[in-house]
Amino acid sequence: MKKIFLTSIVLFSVLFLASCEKEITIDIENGENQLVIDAFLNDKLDTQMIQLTQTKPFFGKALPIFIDDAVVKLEDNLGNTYNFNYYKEGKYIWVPSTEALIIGGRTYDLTVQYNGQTYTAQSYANFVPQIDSINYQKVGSPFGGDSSYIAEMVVVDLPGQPDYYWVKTTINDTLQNTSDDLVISVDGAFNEQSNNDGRPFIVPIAANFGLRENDVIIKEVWSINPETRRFFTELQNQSIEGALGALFATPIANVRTNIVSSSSDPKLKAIGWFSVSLTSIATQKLIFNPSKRVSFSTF
Amino acid sequence: MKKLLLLLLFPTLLVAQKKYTVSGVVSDAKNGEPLIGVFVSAKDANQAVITDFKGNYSLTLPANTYSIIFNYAGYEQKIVEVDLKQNDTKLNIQLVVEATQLNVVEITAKKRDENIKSIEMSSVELSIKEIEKVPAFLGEVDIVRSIQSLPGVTTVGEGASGFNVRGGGIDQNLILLDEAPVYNSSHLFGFFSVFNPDAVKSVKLTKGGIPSEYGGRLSSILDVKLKEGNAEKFTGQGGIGSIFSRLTIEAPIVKNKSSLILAGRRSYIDVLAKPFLSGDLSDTKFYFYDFTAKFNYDINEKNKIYYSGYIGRDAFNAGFFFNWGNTTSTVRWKHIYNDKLFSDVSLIYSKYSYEIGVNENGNGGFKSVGNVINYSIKPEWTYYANEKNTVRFGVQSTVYQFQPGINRFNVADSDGNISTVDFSQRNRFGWENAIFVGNEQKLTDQITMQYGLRGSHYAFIGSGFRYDLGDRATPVDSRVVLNQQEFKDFQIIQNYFNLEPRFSIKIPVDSVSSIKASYNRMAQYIHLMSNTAAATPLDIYSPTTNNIKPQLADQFAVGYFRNFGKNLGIETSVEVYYKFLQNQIGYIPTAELLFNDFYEADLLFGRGRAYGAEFFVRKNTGKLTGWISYTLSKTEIKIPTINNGEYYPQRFDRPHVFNFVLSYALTKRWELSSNFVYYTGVPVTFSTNRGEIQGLPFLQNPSNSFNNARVPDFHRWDISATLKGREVNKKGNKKWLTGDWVFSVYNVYNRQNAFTVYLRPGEQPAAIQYSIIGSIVPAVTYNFKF
Repeated sequence: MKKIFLTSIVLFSVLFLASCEKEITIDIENGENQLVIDAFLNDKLDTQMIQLTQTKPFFGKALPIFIDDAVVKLEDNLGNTYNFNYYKEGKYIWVPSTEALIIGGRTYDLTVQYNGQTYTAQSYANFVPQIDSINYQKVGSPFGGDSSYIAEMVVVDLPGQPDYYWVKTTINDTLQNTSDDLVISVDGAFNEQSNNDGRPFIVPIAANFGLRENDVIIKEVWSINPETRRFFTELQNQSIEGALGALFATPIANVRTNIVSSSSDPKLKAIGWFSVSLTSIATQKLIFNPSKRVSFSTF
Repeated sequence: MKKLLLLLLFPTLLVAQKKYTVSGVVSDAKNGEPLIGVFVSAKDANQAVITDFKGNYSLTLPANTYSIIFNYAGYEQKIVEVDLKQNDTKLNIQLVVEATQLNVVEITAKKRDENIKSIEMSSVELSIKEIEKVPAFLGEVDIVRSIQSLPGVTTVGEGASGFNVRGGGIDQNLILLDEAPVYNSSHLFGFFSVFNPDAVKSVKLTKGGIPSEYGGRLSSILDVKLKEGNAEKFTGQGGIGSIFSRLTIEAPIVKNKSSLILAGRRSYIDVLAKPFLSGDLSDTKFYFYDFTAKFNYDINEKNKIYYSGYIGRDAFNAGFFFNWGNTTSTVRWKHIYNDKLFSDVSLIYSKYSYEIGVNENGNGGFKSVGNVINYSIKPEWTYYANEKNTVRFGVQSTVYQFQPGINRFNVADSDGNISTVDFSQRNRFGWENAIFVGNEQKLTDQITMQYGLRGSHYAFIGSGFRYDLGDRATPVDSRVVLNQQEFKDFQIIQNYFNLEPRFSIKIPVDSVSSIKASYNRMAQYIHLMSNTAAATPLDIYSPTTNNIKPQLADQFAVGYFRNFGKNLGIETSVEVYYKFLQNQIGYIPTAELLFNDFYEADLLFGRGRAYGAEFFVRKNTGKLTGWISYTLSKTEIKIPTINNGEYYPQRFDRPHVFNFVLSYALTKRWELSSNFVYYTGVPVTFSTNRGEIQGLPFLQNPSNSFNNARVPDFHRWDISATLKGREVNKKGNKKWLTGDWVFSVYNVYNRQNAFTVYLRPGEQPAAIQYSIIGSIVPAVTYNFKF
């Protein structure tokens, strides 16, 4: 709805008033750089990684600051502890052998010791439904030009209480990872009011459009918590789509953090997010096959 | 009984003297239209009054004969001898427009001292003639944009709806179109206002010392009065401009008793743009129109009635539909009991609505409609008790209906049958009542006081729901809805009462200067929800509820007024004000104001303060006319969980504002005008640091400071030249049609003013300024009259 409004004012101003954009310098005080803890762990048998960095001033080309002298430890509610070892670029790793690091139904506590301070966070591992398959179909383009492919993952929400999912898409080895690409779902739909409990994921969540023949698409569903969903929503709210987005955007607010700092001094506080997930994954190469169809009617 | 009450209230009325009253109506000789604000003075008696909005005046004087003088800018002075030795006298006067503008100098060889003599402060009245002189955007005269060049008035930016008065939000202005409140005063996102200048008689902005008959908004009253149609003969006027055209006709219905005025405008940029739009945009439609009408009927000497109405709409269609607009209606009956007492009863309807959606009837189609509707009745009385006291009293009752969203969504099943899902929000109702009394009292020949009291009552009523809200999990979360309770029609959910005292005083210093002071308390029961940088047509109004308390403002103002020049033709004033506001609304960062029945849970409340000094110089006579103003001010708000609980600048805070509007009559036919504005840039909230999580960039403002930066300063210069048409042809006969050409250049030195500035993260982060007007805008308009 806001888009409609924005489009209206764009049409008016661009066509008739020669509206324009330009880069300017703004006078603003620099804020304190803070420790950022980026800890998203899962049940894959890949290397599990936690990255510690610092924020940097908004303007300028300051190089990233990596924290290499912290002690990073994970503990589950059964008392198992996992020490993460420093690798490089602020990354601390733990390499699973045959058993996954994150087990569904357990609660995990993260502890980071750095610069004389202790930072803690907690997260619960929710369950995730398996992706059954990825359907796809060749379609004409509604705007003329070359035809393209639609792909749709087939996955059914876990029945019962609201489930929160992070849906990730990789196309030809490139993770679709901008704020716009971020897909966060509740029960396979947009929100708790969508009444989609126990039903297949709805099209806007499950489908990808504009794909090409021979593309390889990987879909992943990660279980998350409602708090993690809010974190991502806030992160997404920070990204402003162009000037007119800025016009009618609300003032940028800091994203929440679930990292608890031992000190209340803003200089010593850490920000960031800790989340544990179970994952399900499916891969599909798009090779023309008239018998393959997506579930919904197309153009 | 009524008289007794008045006597008790105002002991000065008891002083008995042998006095008689001269009263009547002052009107325009040409079209019979009453003239507002005519200065009527009794020579040798040191007494003067100003005609009211119906052209009425009433002067009570000790028995004698007097010369009554009628003065009105742009009209020839008239002096009439009146014998008031034995009885009251009725004296209706018709004034004649001055032959040419250049004669103004001679005609104003008299005292123009209303500025210092009247009790009013913090108010400016602009005649349509003055507004017409301000160089206008695309050559189109505009009332709200002219208002924005007055001291103490600002806007968030070019293309932003509404205006801000002395640190007040855009919803804190009571904008009245013939008594009916107008909820959104803007066309085309604020480039034009909804008032068709051809149908407007006068515009008055009151920023402080607000009399008790007005209430319901905190910051100002913008009183727009429509013209009455010409009661003598059929006339018309209009204009053809670059963006829209106008046509107004006036006609007598019953000669000298009843008349009608009809005025319409429609923009045609979409028609002109059609050839340039291709592909996806070829169906693009965007236009606005408005239609204004007023019918008046003088039933007899004692009873007059008028109806006035407005309907206007802006529409944008480009694969979607989006339109919005106001509708207002007023019926007003004036009854004159006798020379001293008259009443006005108004019945008022006003509605603001918007519609937005795509593919209304098709699969996936969506439509949302939002409305604010009010019904109001306002009977009021004016009693010219004696030459020292003028009393006004009355009541007002208003019922509000808020429909924040009537929402429909179409879905098709596998057979292609479309069904509609309704996800409308719940309506809310409010009922506002007020009783008011005020007196303007001359304490001595020189000192005048105006004092009054308004008692207001507001009830949040059914049908609707009361939500009981719990605490927030964290300061940035919504409050938890603990309980919902349904109420039936007109059942009271929550009551509020407020006493609103009003006071003004004028103390003369000498014959050319005076000091004025005022205090007013205002209560406001409706709130515009808007958490974006600039207001949009989608912003919804909310009533006061059990969770949202009424907004209150206390304002103190002191001013020094002095006239200069040979004929006191230069008015000057300096005013300082301090305003304290309570129950001001703030928002949690993730506030959902649309499609959310529980938006109250996302609101924060705090207090505001605004203070400043306004300097104003105005010259109304001579070849060079216009005004210069400078305002130094600060507007701040304090909300517990925002900006660490400290005061921070409001989004429309502009510490320095400088304006001038100057016109010069070059010859009898050519007039040149120039307009300049300078504003400090508005504040914005910027993050100072950045980082990444999961490869996604995020912004961080570690000090949590709010509105911590400012967009670049705004300034602009506009010029215009008007060539007036000849009124007589070569043979010396009056032409049936006269036309004026207006040539204007907006933004002469091509300043690209920032509407907003946003941060673009990425490899090379930058601050990007967006300008809505990025070029010089020349325009030609042809205005005609017949």
